[in-house]
Amino acid sequence: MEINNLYDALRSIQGFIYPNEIELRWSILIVLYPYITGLVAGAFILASLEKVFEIKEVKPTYRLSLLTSLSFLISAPIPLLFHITHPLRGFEIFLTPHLSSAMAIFGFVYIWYLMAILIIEIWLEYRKDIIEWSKRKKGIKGILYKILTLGVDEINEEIENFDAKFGKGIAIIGIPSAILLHGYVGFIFGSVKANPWWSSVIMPIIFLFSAMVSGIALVIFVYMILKYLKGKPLEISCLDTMAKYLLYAIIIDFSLEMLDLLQRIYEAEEFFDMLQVLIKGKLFISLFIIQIIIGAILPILFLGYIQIFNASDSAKKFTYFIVSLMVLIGIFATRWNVVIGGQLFSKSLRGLTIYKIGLIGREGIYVSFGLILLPFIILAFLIWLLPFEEKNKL
Amino acid sequence: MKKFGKYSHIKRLFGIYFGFLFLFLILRPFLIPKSFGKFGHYRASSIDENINLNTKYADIKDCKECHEKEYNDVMNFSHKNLNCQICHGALSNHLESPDEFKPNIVSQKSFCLLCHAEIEARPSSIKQIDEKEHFKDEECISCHLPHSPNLK
Amino acid sequence: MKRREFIKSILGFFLTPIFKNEIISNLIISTFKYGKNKYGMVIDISKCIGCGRCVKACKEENDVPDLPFYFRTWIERYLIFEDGEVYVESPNGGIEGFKRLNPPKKIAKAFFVPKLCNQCEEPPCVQVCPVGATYETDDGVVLIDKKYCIGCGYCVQACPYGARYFHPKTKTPDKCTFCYHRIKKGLLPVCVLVCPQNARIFGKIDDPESPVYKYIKDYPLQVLKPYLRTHPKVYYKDMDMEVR
Repeated sequence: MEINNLYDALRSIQGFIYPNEIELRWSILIVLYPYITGLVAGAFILASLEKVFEIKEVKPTYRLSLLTSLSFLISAPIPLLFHITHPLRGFEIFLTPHLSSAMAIFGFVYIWYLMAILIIEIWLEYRKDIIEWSKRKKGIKGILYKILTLGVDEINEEIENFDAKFGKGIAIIGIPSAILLHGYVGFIFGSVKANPWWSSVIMPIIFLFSAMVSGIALVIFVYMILKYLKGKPLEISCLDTMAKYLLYAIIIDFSLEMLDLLQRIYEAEEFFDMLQVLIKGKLFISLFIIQIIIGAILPILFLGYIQIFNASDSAKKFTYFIVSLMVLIGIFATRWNVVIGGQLFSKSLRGLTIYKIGLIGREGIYVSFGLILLPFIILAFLIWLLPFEEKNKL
Repeated sequence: MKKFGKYSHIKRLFGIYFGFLFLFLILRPFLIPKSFGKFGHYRASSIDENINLNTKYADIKDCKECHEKEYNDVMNFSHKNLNCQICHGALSNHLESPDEFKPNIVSQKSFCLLCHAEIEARPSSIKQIDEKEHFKDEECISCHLPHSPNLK
Repeated sequence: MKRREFIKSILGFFLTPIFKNEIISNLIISTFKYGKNKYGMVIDISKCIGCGRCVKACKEENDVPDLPFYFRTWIERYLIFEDGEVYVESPNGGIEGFKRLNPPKKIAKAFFVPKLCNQCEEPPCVQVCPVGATYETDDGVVLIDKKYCIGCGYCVQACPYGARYFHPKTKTPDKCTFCYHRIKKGLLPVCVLVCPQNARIFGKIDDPESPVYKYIKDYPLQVLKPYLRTHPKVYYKDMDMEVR
């Protein structure tokens, strides 16, 4: 936070905070990072529903889920690079990772997930098409396809079967890898004993399930928008199945979050008084209105209604679109409440500080918008290069 | 037309991966700072970097050598246990080149009141005055010399 | 026979610790055990007059920016009123002293509490650094390697005592180092040097000649947040239950 913002913060603190706590170190960029990796993990889990659990209805979105996962994975380290004050030293995490720190495994988990899981799975899925396209396409696309074939430009049924089996194996390993990719972020917060709002056993689990919720919602959202832009019809059975799993995931996630809140209220430890001030004051809108009502209760009601009473196709499509948007916003609010909320809390348990976000600057609103748009731009490029419709073999 | 084995695409992919891995493993010892890991998971030369900083407050108990009069003054009165640098600031520079760096000489009331104002939570082990009652329009040094604060 | 042996081994597992006192006494780790050859500080709360000279001297000696957001050490004032309300403040860390408040309510008790990095023996800040840019030396001081730090800020989050701040010039965290550059040359930390009331006592924890050792032996002492098991090496004498 800049000096002017700090003076403002000094005037607006409630109660007593340790003097050094005026500056909130982990800004909106650190809200974005768990959000983005959550989308990565969630989209991948949705893809693995088809590959591993063989739920055929979601096959139309299999490739799209993988590409979405990749485009968000590529943009995931960027908020971190913007946040750390010495980004050129960032490679030290690879050289001398301090293994007692949950943050140190970022480098390894990220590289493993990117190279060993996602890239291989996408490559194996698309290989037959890439080989065909490399022979038929000219220009930049042709060159890119030729590079992607790694020089192996022939394929037969035996190799195809091998690819399918190997791909399934990768997808099976991919599930715990995706869990680790996002779970370690939850552990980063959950293991900080100094902060009573963060320190919790259930934190990695909540992070994981909210990641699944946001990932499924993202794929629904992107799928509907892309089909609309291309003027193609939506496969309603696919959407229905995705919405069903979204409903299950939201119910589990909401239950876990409420369980956490309930337990804190019941045990009422020392920080409880300040917690009440926080959630009834600064965090009221983002917690009760956005995270709970918009992000969980309303989606459960809408999706639940459709599950029980059914509805017309157009009503379903409209509901799914609105619900996926609500969920995406709700999960962002969840991350905000954890990251920013936990820092508003003074460790003296006697006061609250404020978070002032600037418009410009490395950690400002403009940059954050850019970082949210970036994965979609990457996704657009990936879809241009690797179209995801099954029938599109041009 | 080349004929590819069943696994040649996998072999090529893993070839590239392991190539990067070997490159990293070979470069790593050159990139890690030399003193890293000597005593623990940190750069050992950082300990010396932390030790070799300038000290601004001097290692002095009293300034008797050059300021004997002031020393004798202080030693007779209640400020005798205070380090000179409490009121005169950091004195390393002054010790090195006494004429170039002259220390502070404090005489304002606000400074005396830092210790001697009667405020909430201050223990009675120090003499305190209510600044609104005790000669509120006068400077402390009109009656109390800092080196010999008992009444003139 | 087999069944009897099995039952014996189960009973042994559950009953043995009760009869082996060494295990229990080793669990409750005492100051003397983990303070071997390490520096520590005792803060005598009943002596602190809240003049703020320590805060000022520390900022001068250690190039801490003279702004109300960055402190290696600071003073807190606690006013406990007769109706039970507690008012705590630390105006600019106490660097310019404290004002006369004249509160409308009657004060039951009030005191000053100097705070600084507790130089924990099991520092959570060291545990969470992803690259190894902060560490504890063999003589018990936790230091920061500012040339290696990437600035992620995890250590600032992990400190339970609010001792770390982000230095605006080096763009790395910074904190009290017990004036390591002074104590290694046999000098005292400046906050100890300039305290007019000798409220801060510094020395090696287990050296019988050191004043810290004498304080530990002679008076009941407390540490901040002992339940977090950080094993701080800054001990408070006459600390009230309201202090966090």
